[in-house]
Amino acid sequence: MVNRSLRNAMRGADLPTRREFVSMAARGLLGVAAMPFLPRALAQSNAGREITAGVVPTAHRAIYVYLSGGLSHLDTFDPKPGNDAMGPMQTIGTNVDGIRVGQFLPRLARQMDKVCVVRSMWSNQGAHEQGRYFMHTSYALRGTIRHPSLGAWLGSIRGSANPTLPSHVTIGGDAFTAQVGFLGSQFAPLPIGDPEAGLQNAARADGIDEATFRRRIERLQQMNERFLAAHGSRLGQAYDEAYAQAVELMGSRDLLAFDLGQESAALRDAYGRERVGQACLLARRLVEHDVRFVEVVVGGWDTHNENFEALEERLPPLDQALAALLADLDARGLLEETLVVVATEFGRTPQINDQRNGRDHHPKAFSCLLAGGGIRGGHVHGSTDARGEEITAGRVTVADFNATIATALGLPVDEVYHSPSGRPFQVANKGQPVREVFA
Amino acid sequence: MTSPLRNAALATLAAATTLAAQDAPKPTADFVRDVLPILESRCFECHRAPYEDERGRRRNPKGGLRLDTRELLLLGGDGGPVVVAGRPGDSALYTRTVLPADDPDIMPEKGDPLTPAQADVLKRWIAAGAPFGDWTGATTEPAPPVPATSGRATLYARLAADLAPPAAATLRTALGAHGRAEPLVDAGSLLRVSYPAHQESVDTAALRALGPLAAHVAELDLRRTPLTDLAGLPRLPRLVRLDLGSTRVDDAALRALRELPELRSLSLCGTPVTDRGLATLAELPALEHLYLWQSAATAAGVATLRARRPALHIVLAPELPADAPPQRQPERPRRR
Repeated sequence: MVNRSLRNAMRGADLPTRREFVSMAARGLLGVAAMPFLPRALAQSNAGREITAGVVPTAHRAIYVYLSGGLSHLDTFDPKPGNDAMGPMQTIGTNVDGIRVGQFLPRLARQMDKVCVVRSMWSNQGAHEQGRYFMHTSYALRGTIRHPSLGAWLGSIRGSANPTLPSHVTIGGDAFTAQVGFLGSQFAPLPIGDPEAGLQNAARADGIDEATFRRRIERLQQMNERFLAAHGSRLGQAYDEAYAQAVELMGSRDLLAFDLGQESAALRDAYGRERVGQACLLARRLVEHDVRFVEVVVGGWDTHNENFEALEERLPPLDQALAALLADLDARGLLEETLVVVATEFGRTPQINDQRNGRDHHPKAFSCLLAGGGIRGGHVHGSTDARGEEITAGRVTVADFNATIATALGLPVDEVYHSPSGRPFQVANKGQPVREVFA
Repeated sequence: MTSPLRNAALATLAAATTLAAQDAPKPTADFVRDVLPILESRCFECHRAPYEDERGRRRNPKGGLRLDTRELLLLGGDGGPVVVAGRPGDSALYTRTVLPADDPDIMPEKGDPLTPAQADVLKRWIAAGAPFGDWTGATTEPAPPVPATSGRATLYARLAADLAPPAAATLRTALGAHGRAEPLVDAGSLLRVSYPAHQESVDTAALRALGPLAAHVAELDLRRTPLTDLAGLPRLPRLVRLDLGSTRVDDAALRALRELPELRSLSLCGTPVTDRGLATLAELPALEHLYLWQSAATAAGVATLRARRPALHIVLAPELPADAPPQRQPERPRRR
């Protein structure tokens, strides 16, 4: 039972249609995707059978914090107290007995009862771009096709939750993070560069007052009507729709979702004024407005050189942002149905390279986090050996990890979908969910 | 090194073996003495109960085929039965072991093919009707105790038992122009209802309209709606989560919640609810999570409620990180 509308969407995406061109134009001009607003979602989601294949969602939305560059697992979530692999890094206890973390995560340590640490992540991609792409799509990067990342799958299978906002937003991503792949541009992530700037070009230009704007739109509609009457075409109507949707968003209350100025100074301070903190706060605002999948990309973890000094600088803002995010979501009652993921492309070596005092790439054992959205908090899944070098139990492949996220979000991992060219793909490339991490 | 010549030689060898077997009928192969050692040494690595290998990776039986129990051996794999008693020629357990060595279907997949003698044991055992004696093999229970469903899935499965999904027409009238329903269980009989982007349209009439869906609403998101009370809220026998965050719903309105026997999670974040309203909440039989941040409830009121409901998880205020600049840890890592 393959989702018919998804298949249609895929078939339509084989060649960029005029409608998609319009959608992309709207994205470029207005920063919004036109397609998710089409009124298909209600009937589709209400039919109930189309989106599920025996999957009960435990989360309705996700915040996916991606640590680009490869986070050192030893110095953060899989520390080995007393082992020389730790170098000078100390460890601290958390609010869960038996879970220790690196010393620069004191605030997150107090939220560990909400977090499941997966200490047995395994990847076979040891280069950044390949690893990043693999982590996001579950498929190896190759020349012949682009695969969708989870946010795009989620939008295409479960539809947009908020009819005036895109279903998928990425804050600070790059070409190897969130992907729309072959799913068609309407499921592409809406890119936000600077969280404090929010959504750009969504307001009227300076010097154009409301009346002038309305008059121009009306004039445009008159011209379009004449054209459509003479040349009646579906594609012309698509342009009309794109304009109408964009104008709707411009006037929408939900545009405020992108505005961090709506938050109190105290809360903005609590997240930390660094970029990662403000990006996490924006992510919380967006999921609160029913954007389904928000990715926050944070770089700077490729610590080949001066690993310990770099982490001393980079971990505290991350620690603060993640701790604030979990506490804030929880206090609003949103953590129950919001999945929070912290992911990275690989870990870093137990060996500390001598000349540069850094750690190198280590894909065969690393750590990621899951929290909220039906996940069992205060739990550790899997383990590594005494130096954090090899996995000793509970190995979780990248595909399994993504299948776990997909399952929490109600996406069927066993269903086969076909790309426009007819090739079969699965949401998490045959990965199977790790059942133990669910509450 | 494969060649037609080699295949011909193999075929001849196989034929010779067959002929030899016909010439001098051998005794029936005993399962435990003759067959099981072959299965153990050459087949079980891939065709047995799921297990974790030395690297912690879960290994499932290949092709869905397990040979380590009598019941599952006879059941076969994804491709159907592998043993047809009395007919070795129709039994993949035998035929796939005597394929040419370069055939992609030959079993075992790894290592050398079975010796002709080993294949002959399988053949004779099947020909004799595949008798197991009293061998039954490993327990047929799947080895690792993996929970099939989460607690939440179990709860929803129970609530959805014997509940048919609502008709499309019912959905349309109950949700109006702005309501959104998402299925929470496979069949779509339990729903999460929300009003994204149109919260301002939710009023008493909108709540009342949900009446025909009352049996199906398990999660109801009324965040940021202009509601001041819950007049109009139908009795929702399966409501598990209710979000009233950032509404003007007050103490008096909470009395309507007593009609919600399954309510486990309630957000009153940012509402004018006071300690007086908490007394009503103490009576909710199933309540597990209560969110009161930015409400008018106080620590004293929460303490009273906690005394009455010790297991209830109550969040009055989040433990937000200090707004001061990040503090340095006392033990600084030093350069090596």
